[in-house]
Amino acid sequence: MRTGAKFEAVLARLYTDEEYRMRFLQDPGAIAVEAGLSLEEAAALAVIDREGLDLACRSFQFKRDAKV
Amino acid sequence: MAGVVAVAEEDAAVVEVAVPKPDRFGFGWRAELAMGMLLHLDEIDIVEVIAEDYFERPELLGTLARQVPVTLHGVGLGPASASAVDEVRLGKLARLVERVRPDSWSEHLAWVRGGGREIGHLAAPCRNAGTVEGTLRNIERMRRVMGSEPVLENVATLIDPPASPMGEAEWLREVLDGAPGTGMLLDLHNVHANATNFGFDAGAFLRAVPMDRVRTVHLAGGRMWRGRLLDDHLHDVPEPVFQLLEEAAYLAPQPLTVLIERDGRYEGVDSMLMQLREARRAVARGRERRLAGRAAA
Repeated sequence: MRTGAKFEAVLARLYTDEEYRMRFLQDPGAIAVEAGLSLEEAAALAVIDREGLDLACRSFQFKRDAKV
Repeated sequence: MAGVVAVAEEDAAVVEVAVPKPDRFGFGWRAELAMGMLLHLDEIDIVEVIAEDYFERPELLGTLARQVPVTLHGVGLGPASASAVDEVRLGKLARLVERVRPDSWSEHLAWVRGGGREIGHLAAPCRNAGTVEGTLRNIERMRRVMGSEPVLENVATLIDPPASPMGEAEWLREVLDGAPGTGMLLDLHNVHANATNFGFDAGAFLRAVPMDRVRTVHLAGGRMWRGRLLDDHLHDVPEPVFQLLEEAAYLAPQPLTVLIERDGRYEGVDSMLMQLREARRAVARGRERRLAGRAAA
């Protein structure tokens, strides 16, 4: 298993863009294809820790808001 | 590990004996606690300063560094990434280190941006061979620009990062094995949080990472949030973290610098000093166990 900059770009967008995250949660495969991820990367993303994703996104948002 | 002093013996010959360096204890430097800390420097061996806070005003650190040893802690590089660290930020950190000449400097084994987006905080890396290689490339970049070795910190996470066939201890070990000069900053609340959130044994984690590479230890507190432990630095250091500190002092042969981090809900420096004294007692217990074990062996 290897991930690179493309995978991190998708993950960073999932962490910071709520509309993108909602689209992903409805159809992870479409986001993976759109981003040009490999099959292995797409499979890893499809089984993401969804509860953790929600908590992490809220925590990151709180940190960003605190910096403004 | 050990200093050397000259000792005069009875026949006036001078021999050199090794004297172990002591463990050191201190705090993350925060403006809200500054006055209280300055009034108690007799109990504080070292302070850790967030480097980015002083990129534009490094002269402010000079006065502090003349009173107490300072270590710099970066939060913005994000070296645990497939992408290269930001050269502009790295340059600023290098200029600050050059000016302040700290005791050491550290960063996080996290990533903080991707695809041009700032995440806003420390994100745990996906633990796979690709990120090990990317992290090692970034450590080499940092080493080249800074002219010295970093000390790198394990991070807490609320999400189990996707694409992570490696466990956290295994990933850390791979990185440290690939960067032999790099020290480790072991954040014990981060270990406690991840162990709580993802069901591994924190003590086993300490035995799985190269404890002889640990230079610095962080202690902090957090709170449960929807079933996971959030490392918020807003609460006192909990008892399980002091127990991990005792274990770390038992396992690590080298002197440790132990720092307590607190980022808000301050209850005054007295409360912080009580926790610092508890940290000293925990390390003393670990060191005593280590000595007793060696004596028995």
